[in-house]
Amino acid sequence: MEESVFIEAKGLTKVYEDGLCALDHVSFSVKSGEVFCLLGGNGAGKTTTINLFLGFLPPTEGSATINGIDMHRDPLEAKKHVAYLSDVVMLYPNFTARQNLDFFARLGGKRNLAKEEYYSVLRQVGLQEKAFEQRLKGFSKGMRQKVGLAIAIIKDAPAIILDEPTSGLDPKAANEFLNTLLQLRSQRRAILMSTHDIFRAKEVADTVGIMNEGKMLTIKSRKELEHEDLEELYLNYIHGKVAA
Amino acid sequence: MWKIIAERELKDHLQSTRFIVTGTVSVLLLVMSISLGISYHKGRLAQYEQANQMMLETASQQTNWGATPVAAYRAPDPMEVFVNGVNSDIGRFSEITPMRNVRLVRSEFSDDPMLAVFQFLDPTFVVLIVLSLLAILFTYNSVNGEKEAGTLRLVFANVISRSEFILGKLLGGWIALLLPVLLSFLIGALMLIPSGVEMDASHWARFGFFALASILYFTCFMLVGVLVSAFTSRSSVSFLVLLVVWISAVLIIPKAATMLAGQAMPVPSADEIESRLASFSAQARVEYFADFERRLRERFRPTEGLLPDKARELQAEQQAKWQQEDDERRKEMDQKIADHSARLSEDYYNQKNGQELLAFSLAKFSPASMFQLVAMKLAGTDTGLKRRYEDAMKSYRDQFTKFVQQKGGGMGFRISIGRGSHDVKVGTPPSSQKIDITEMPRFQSPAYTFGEAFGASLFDLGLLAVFNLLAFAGAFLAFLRFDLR
Amino acid sequence: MLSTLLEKELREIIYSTKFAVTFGASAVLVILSFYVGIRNYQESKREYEAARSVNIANIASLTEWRMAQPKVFRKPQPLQVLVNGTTNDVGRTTEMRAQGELNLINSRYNVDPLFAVFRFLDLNFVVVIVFSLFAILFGYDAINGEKESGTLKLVLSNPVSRAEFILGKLIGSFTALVVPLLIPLLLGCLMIIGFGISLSPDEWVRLFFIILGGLLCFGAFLALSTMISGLASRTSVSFLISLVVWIFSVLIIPKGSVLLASAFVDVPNLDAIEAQKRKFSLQQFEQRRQKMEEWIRANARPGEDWSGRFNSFQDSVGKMFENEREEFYGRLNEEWRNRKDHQERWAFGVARLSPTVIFQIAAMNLANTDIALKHRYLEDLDRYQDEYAEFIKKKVGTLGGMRIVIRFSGQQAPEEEKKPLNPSELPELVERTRGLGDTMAASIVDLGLLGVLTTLFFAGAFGAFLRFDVR
Repeated sequence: MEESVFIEAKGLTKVYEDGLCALDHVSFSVKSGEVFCLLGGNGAGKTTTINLFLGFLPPTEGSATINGIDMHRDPLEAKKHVAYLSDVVMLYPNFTARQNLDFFARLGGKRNLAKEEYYSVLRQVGLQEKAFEQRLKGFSKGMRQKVGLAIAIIKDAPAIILDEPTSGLDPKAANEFLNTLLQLRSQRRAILMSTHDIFRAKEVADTVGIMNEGKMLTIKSRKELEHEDLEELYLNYIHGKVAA
Repeated sequence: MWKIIAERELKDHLQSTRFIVTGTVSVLLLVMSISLGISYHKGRLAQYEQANQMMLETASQQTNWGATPVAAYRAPDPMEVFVNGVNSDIGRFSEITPMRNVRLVRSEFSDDPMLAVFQFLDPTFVVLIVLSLLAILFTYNSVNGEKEAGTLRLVFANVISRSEFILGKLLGGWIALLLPVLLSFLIGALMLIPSGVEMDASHWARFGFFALASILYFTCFMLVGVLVSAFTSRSSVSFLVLLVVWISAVLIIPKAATMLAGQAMPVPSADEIESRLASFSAQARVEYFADFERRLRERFRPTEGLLPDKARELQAEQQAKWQQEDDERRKEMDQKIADHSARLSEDYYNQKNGQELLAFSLAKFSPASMFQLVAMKLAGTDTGLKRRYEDAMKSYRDQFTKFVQQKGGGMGFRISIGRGSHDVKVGTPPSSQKIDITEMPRFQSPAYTFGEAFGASLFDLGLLAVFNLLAFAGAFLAFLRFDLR
Repeated sequence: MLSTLLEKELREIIYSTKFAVTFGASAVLVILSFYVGIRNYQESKREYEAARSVNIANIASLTEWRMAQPKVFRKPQPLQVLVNGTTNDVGRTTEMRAQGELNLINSRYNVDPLFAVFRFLDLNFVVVIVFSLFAILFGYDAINGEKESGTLKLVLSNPVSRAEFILGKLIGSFTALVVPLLIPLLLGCLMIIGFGISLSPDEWVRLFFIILGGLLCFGAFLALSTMISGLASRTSVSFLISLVVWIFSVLIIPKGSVLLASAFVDVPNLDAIEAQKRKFSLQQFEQRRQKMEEWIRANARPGEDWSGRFNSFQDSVGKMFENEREEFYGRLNEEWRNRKDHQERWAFGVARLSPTVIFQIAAMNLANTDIALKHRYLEDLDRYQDEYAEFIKKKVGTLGGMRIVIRFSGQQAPEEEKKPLNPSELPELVERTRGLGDTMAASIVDLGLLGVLTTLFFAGAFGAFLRFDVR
């Protein structure tokens, strides 16, 4: 139970109709209470991996499972156990922060929550009190990101998938964000996030998977990384200086 | 500097899918509308000629001018290819008889309600609806869209003044929009030349001004588009605002204006006027006949008790005097009816003109109505078309009546019954010889010269230009104050 | 789950500025169209009454029916002002004659070209132009807009099936947009009652179906643009496509199809038919004159009953010629009508490619302002003409047309005969407006078609979304 694998990719492969191989036999697993960072440049296959984990795409080969449930075979059941924060977080501009939260909470199966519960989650992600009941129209990117994170939190799912969560955030907001992430980890959630921000990855990740051109080049644990410079390692892998 | 901006704007438009799709659609529509217009014009022309021909043919079978059915037809004018206006709503012909007033009847739409349901697709309509929509589609995000894309700040990081930028932008966008319009008018003109539509110099000149008015019209919407885009910070808002402006200008204001005018200045219905005229002339006739009877009785009174021969002699003596008296009375009656009718219709037309003036003045809040009015006046398919034809037909009717009287044609049979003698004769017309239709005066369509057309439309054309200037100034100033952040 | 999605869709639409602006605009227009329609109806009713009373006064001022030239007027119908159709193009006045073909003159637009320039703002126009545009504005980004704002992925990361999502979307947006539209429409109906215009139960039913058709038309465009939104990946693309579709279905297809049909399906020119008729009646006139001459030659010496015999001779000849004329004209008219019907079927068949046209045809049929309005009214007139002829015959003794009244001296009509006419003796024109059954029969196909189209687009939107690339 302690070390149970919650998110797992087995030989995940995606070949698009136009023949482009976006993902080539990628395997990895994320345990409860673990933060797994997918690291890679543009087009490395991070977003495709996430899309496969959310059932937005059917895999060509292999499987993506959440809590042992195959996302492709039984998407509705699998999605019950996962929360998601997308890379584009425009949300519904005419809804207030709370209304946005409310809608997604209900989709996630949380019905009839009290106003206070929404507020406490919004507070937890660090949104200013006065913005709770304001429409998202006037929100900055950072504020939206916070609402997005609140949406991921409020679902109270054992697995969380985050797509480029820190891109476009200022350092302070990014730090707050990572703190929240650590809190979630301490609640024993399995967290899968994609990023190209090496420094933040190093700070927060228990495990880092480096991807390039659809392949998982290496997977390193925090322990292994203590002796290495992640940036150097990343660049070396990307430039093919180290064999996979 | 502005040249670089204009060039970029032009290239940007020309390379966009938006331009290719909408430009192609509008060229296709304009060309299609012109070609449909040409085929319709030819059809109408054929119908007109056939109708005239058949009228003459029937007339030539007649033996009595008085019984000859004559009608005056409205001649199709080549300008209807571009601007159908009220052409299909107004009656196509009027019967010309000494007995009845001129009345244009049987409009194309009343003959063929199918056409009335959806109406015509003439170039004016395409310009009115499609080009204005196109102009808006191209300008709604011209300023705030660049802000959203971040290019505005990049541009202004260079040495360029705001006025240079906006001038360049307007010019580039304008040229891009001008291309499909000019292209389609050019194709239209090229189609007209071999089509056999008889376009004389005046028609070409009017066509030229029509093209000018079209350009002024869509420029106007383009400028308003830029104006709104510079006034709002988000392109989704400016699009919404412009859509409301467009709906109001093109669809609502013109209709609302005429209906408001109709309610503010009600004009008695034509049926009412006609019935009043009929009642007056019936009354006048009754009076005339009563008087006539009285006179007859007076004339016969001296012959009472005389021998028939003597009586006839006396009658013969007086005949000329009586004839003259009767004629005079008759003329008096006719004059009275004519005066009354002229007064009443003058009154009616004055009221109608007042209503029209109000309606069109109100409608001119919208550039769409201005354009429509200019186009119709240039083409001569404006509301004055009916009046012009009615006037021409009235004078033709007078001419024709005089002609028939000269020819000695009366209507129908003449039955003369000799008093005292017991025989009845049905008088056949003086001769049973067929009439010679070459003698008949022909109806001449009222001339609508380029001068008249130009004079009538100049004011509205000027107004459209003024509107353009205002919108230009507005767009310019709005951009100077635009928040670049 | 569906209810959550529905609720979100409802709120998202109703909170938006886009909704406030477009709903405000269409509400104002709907109410305006009702108001204008009502005022117009009152006005045309007043005109109708005025024209009638002048006509009656004219008759009352006469002393002999022989001299009377009554006119009949087409009665304004309340629904005609909501759906103008062809009513303003078809003549309203007829000069009554006991014999000969009757003509409709003084159509609204012919008399007042001013109104023909911009035409009227009726409910039909608001539905066709404004409702459809309104629907497209809300449909074009329904699916790909959520993708662009990232919410689609967020929603689908929850245990929500695609079918649920699209159903929630379609039903939610339809409800959010249609229910508010019902408010001004109902207000309009209340205005009809408030202004004291009495509609028969039949007319209420017809009005109900007109409104239903309008909402179906709206639904068709909403589903269509949602479908386009599910087929195009970017909102700018789907907007462009929707706009082109709108321009075509609202402006181009209807006009184009009619113009094409009249270019391709040949219908004999009406003027030529008119000329044939004129030629025929002139021949008749000549034949008649000859017949009369013969009779008079044969009865050259007037006796006591000369006038009576002459009149009855005239009547019998007149009747014969009238029958001949009717037959000839009827044949010509029918031939023309058949060709015309063929053309119209063709034109409307093509035009029905557009949902707005289908609505327009259904609405015109329901309001009885369709293209057959003229034909139906002329049939009413024909029936009335028979009644009128009988009446005149009873009053005058002859059928009019060519009458010769001969009075011999000493036979002066007695003075008491010259009392004013009583116009109420004149038979009334009864317009047999189509019954509810006929009206419904004429419009049910189009209403059904509209329903089918809406369902089809709905299914299309559904199918498009199931295959939509969420990434």
